[in-house]
Amino acid sequence: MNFWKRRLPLALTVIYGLAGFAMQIIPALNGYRDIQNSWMPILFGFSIAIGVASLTKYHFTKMRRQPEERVYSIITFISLVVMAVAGLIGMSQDGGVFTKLFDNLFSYVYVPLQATIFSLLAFYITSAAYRAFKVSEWISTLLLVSGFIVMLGRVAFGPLMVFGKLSEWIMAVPTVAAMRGLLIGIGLGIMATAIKIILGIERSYLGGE
Amino acid sequence: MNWEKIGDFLLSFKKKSIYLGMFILVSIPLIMKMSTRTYITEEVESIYDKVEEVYEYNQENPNDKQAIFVSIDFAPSSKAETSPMLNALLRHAFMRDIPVLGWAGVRTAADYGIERLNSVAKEYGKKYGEDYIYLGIAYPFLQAVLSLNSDVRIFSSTDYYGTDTYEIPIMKQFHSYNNIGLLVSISSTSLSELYIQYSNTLFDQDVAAGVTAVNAARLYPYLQSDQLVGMMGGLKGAAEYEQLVNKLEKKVIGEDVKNYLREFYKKKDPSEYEKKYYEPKFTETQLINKMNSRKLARMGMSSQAVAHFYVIILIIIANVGYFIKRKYE
Repeated sequence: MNFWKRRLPLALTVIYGLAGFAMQIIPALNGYRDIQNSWMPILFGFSIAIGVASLTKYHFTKMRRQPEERVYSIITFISLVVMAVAGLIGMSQDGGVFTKLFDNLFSYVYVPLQATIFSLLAFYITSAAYRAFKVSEWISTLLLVSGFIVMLGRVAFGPLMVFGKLSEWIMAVPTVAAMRGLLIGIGLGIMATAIKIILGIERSYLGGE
Repeated sequence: MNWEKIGDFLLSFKKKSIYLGMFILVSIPLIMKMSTRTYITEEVESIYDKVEEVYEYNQENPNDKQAIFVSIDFAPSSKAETSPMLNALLRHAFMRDIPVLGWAGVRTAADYGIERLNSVAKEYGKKYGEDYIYLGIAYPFLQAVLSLNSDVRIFSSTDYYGTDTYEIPIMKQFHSYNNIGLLVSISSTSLSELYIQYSNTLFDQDVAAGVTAVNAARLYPYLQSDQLVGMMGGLKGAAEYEQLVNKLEKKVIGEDVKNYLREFYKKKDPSEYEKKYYEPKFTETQLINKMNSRKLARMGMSSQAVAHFYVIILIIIANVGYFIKRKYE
C-alpha cells in the first residue's frame, strides 16, 4: 500500500520533474516534448473524471448531512448532469435539440449570471469606497490621491489630460517598482517549491506529512 | 450653522441610494449611445505598429507570410472590457489580409471565440480554413502553448469543427511560432503571463496582451523589460485600439463603411462562401450592429467616465463629512 500511495507517486514526480528539465535544456531531447505534450490531454481527461466524481460525492454527502442547504446541492448536481448530457449528446448531433439546449443554457443562463455577478462589483465598490476610504493618516491620503489621479487619468480628456500623464507615470514607475519586487519574490518561491517537490522534500501533495 | 448636522448628513447616504445613483449614471450614456474619444498611449500604439509591421512583411514576402495568433482567454463576465479589444484586433488583421489563427485558453470562451471570428471575418469576406482558423479550446493550456514551438497539429489534431488540422489549408503554412508574427492574448485571467513566460522567454515569440484593467498593473513590468510588445489595459486600452483601427478603416475602405458593408456581398458569388461559418449578406439590423461594434469600447468609456467621477465625488463627500465630524465633535 505504501508503494502505491507514496513511493510510486514520489518516484514518478522525481522522474518526470527531472525529465522536464532535461527536455528543456538538452536540445537533443526537445523532440520528446511533443510526445509528452500529446500525453497530457489524456492525463487531464482523467482529472476531469476525478473532479466530477469528487464534486458528486461532496454534494451527495452535503444533501444527506445538511438538509437546510440541500437545495443548493440539488441545483448544482442537476446543472452538472444537464450540461454534461446536453454537451455530450449534442457533440454528435450538430444543430440538434441537445446542441441548442447546451448553447441556450450557456448563452442565456451561464453568461448573464456570470456577467451579473461581476457587474455587482461596481455597486459594492462604490458603496465601500464611500464608507471606508477615509483620509486619516498621510499614507491613506497618498493612496487616495494616487487613486484619484489614476481614476481621472483613465478617462481623461481636454483639461483633465494632465491626469492622463500623471496616471501613466504612476503606472509606469511606482506600480512597476512594487510589481517587479512581487514578481521576483513569486518567481523565487515557485522555483524553490518546484525544486523541493522534484527532490521529494515537499510531499504534502501526497496527503499528510 | 450646525456643522455637526451637516457632517452627519454627508455621512448618512444609504447603500440603496448609492446603488441607484450608480445604476442611473452608468445607464444613461449607454442608452444614449454616447461615445468619447481618448488619448493614445505608447503601449497600445506599439501593438498596432507591430500588426502593421506584420502586414508590411507579408507585402514584401508573399510566399513566406506571417500570421497573427489570437488567444481568447476571457470569461463572459469580463466581455465588456475584452470583447471590444478582440473585435478591433481581428478587424485590423483581416483588413490587412493577415492570416489569423485562434484558440480559447478558457472553456467559457470557446464558443464565443468562433462566433467573434466568423462575425468579423464576414465583414472582410475572409474564408474559414484559408484566411483564418479556430482550434477550439487549448487544453491542457501549458502543453498547448509548448506545442506551438514545433507543430501545433500534433497537439490539436482537429479544429473547433472537428476537421483534421492536417487537412486545413491555412495550417499547412502556419502551425508553429516560426510563422507567427505576433501572438496576442486577450485575457481576463493570468494566462497572458504564461505566454510571456513560455512563448516569449523560451521561444522568443513576440507577445502582446489585452487584459482587464485590474490585471493590467501586473503586466507593466513585462512591458518595460520588452517581454511584451504592447498591452491594451481595460476599456481604455480597447477604446484606443478601436480608434486606431477606425482611422485605418477610413483610410483603407473610405468614410462610408456602412454602405461598403451593404454592397460588399452584392458583388460576390454567394456559392464561394460556406454558410456553416456565416451567411454572405448583411441585413439592416446586422449593419447597425456592425457600426455600433466599431464604437463599443468608446461607448463603454462614457459610462466608465461617469462612474469614476461618481465614485470620486462620493469619496470627497464622505471625507468632508468625516473631517467636519472630527473637528466639531
